[in-house]
Amino acid sequence: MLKLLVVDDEEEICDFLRIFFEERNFKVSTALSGEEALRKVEVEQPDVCLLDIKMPGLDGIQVLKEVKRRYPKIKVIMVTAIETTEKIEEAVRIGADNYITKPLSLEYLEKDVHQKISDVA
Amino acid sequence: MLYLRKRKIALKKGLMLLALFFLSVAILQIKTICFSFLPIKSSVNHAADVGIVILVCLITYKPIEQFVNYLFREFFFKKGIGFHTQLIHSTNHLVSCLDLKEFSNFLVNTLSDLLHVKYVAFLIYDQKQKEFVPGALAGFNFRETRKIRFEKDSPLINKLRESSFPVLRFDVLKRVSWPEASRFNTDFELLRAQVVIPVFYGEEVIGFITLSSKPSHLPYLPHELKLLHDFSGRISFGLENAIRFNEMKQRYEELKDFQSRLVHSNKFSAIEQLATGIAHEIHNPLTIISGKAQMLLLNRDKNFLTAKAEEDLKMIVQQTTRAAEITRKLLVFSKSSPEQKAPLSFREIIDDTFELISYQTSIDHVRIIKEISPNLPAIKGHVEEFREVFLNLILNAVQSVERDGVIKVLVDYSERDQSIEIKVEDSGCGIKKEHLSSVFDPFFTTKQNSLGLGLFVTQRVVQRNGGYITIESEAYKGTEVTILLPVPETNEKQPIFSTPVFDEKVSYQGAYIDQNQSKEE
Repeated sequence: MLKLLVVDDEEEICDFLRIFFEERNFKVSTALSGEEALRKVEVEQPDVCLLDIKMPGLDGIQVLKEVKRRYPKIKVIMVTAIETTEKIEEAVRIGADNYITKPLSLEYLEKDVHQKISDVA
Repeated sequence: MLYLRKRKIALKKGLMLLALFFLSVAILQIKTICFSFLPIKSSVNHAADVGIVILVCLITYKPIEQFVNYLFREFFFKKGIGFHTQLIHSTNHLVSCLDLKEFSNFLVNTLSDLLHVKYVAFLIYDQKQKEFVPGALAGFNFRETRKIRFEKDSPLINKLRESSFPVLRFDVLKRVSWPEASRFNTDFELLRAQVVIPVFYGEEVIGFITLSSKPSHLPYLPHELKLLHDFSGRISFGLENAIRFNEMKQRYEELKDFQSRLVHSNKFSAIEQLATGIAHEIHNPLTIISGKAQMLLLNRDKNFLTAKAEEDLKMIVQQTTRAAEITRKLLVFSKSSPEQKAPLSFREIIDDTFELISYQTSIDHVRIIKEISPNLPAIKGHVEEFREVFLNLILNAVQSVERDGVIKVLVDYSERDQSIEIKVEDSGCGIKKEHLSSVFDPFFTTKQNSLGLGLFVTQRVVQRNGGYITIESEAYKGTEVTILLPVPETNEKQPIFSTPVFDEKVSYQGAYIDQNQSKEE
């Protein structure tokens, strides 16, 4: 079973993404902050991580740095509320595999997640 | 000078002698005639004749002297005593005059009226430009006036500082060496000056007056120079006051202008921050709404959705996307665009914009006048941003004009501002006075189905390019939007359409045919 970690400070978003991906046979865990995300990454070792950029505490960029440093194989898709070009550029430079903007198109997201996983395989 | 003065005295004396002589002869003649009528046999009495002549001379000397003096004054200065009193009288007005323009004009007019000289120039030291610039001129033609400017340390000014007294042209030329003389001569010639009168305030020359030769073409006399010197002394205080007042007025205007721009930029940055916050906060609930709706749709079979419910859910997804678009649009313009700056072709952008709305303008019979200078200096910018600017301005114009209205788009280089000046004018319904201060505010609109972001975004783009935008409007008369975009100093002035980027594009058919003015019906 493919493992997915959803990181977003908005609980509702985590919840419906969890439901959506569980229905599609993913093992989904969620984290509401950057710190929690790093703990979960260590425990769960997910295949793909959906990472919100703007979060209180550790933000998405910092989490991304840490994840890519420790587990370069984990695919990370950044989720942004608005396109801040500098932020996106920075994320891509650090090693983000893609980015998607809110509101999310679930169909597109699903396709993207599958693609990233097939890249690994 | 002395020689001339002596000649004048000799002439005066000669004239008086002549007058006395003729008077004496006339008296003697009358005496002879009178005696010939009398029965007394006249005897030649030389002693008596000499006595009569002396008596006549004594009695008439004073009146004749006065008369000759009067004639002389008339000859050298047409309005002798009148001139003097009027000059003094005029200083009273000048001392109390605070408007520099009025001061200068009054001074020059008074002098040219009283002295009947052809050319009078009055130059004032401009603190900002660090040179003497014309305050008012009489007799000069427009082309000449543009050249009249003197640096603070130019030889003529130094000379004035040294002498602190009115300086005569031929006096200066006589005393200096040849190369210097030629330079002085150019200065004097430029001003057509025979005499230059400095105006001092303390030790500093704050201005000077130049006069061309008198109508009689006779040189200025020492007592006249003294009079002019006194005059300049009397007005110096008034001039200093007027200069200071003028400076204050300018500073005040600048401050007012700066303040109004500051208010706008302040308003903006607060709004920008707010918008960023709102965008973030709004996108999360939008994501949830849209996400849940999408999930219902994706599981439509399990959820037994009716066709109507399916339609509504699709609508929810669409509308959340639209709401997100609004905040995004707002924010894209508050952040710098990632796209590279390229040389802007205003002609192309404007033509494209009119092309875009040609359907609307053709059904409304709107007359479009485009005047785009072919010699614009090249400036760089984000083409997409400027497309947005022109689309906003032209669309506003089109929406405000009714049938048979006129829209005028002018693009020209303004030498004075060193900027490209863009004007979009329309003959439309105008903007109400009370709305004028809010037109640049985001979400301000008086139209239905309008986001109210057009002018806000336009202003943002203009400001980001270092320029500024003003709007003038009168209800039911029309609106004029002016944008000034500064041209970077390093740019050589070259026609924009010779830049290579532009040559690659071929999308402006016919744009060159009507280079200066094209009208489309």
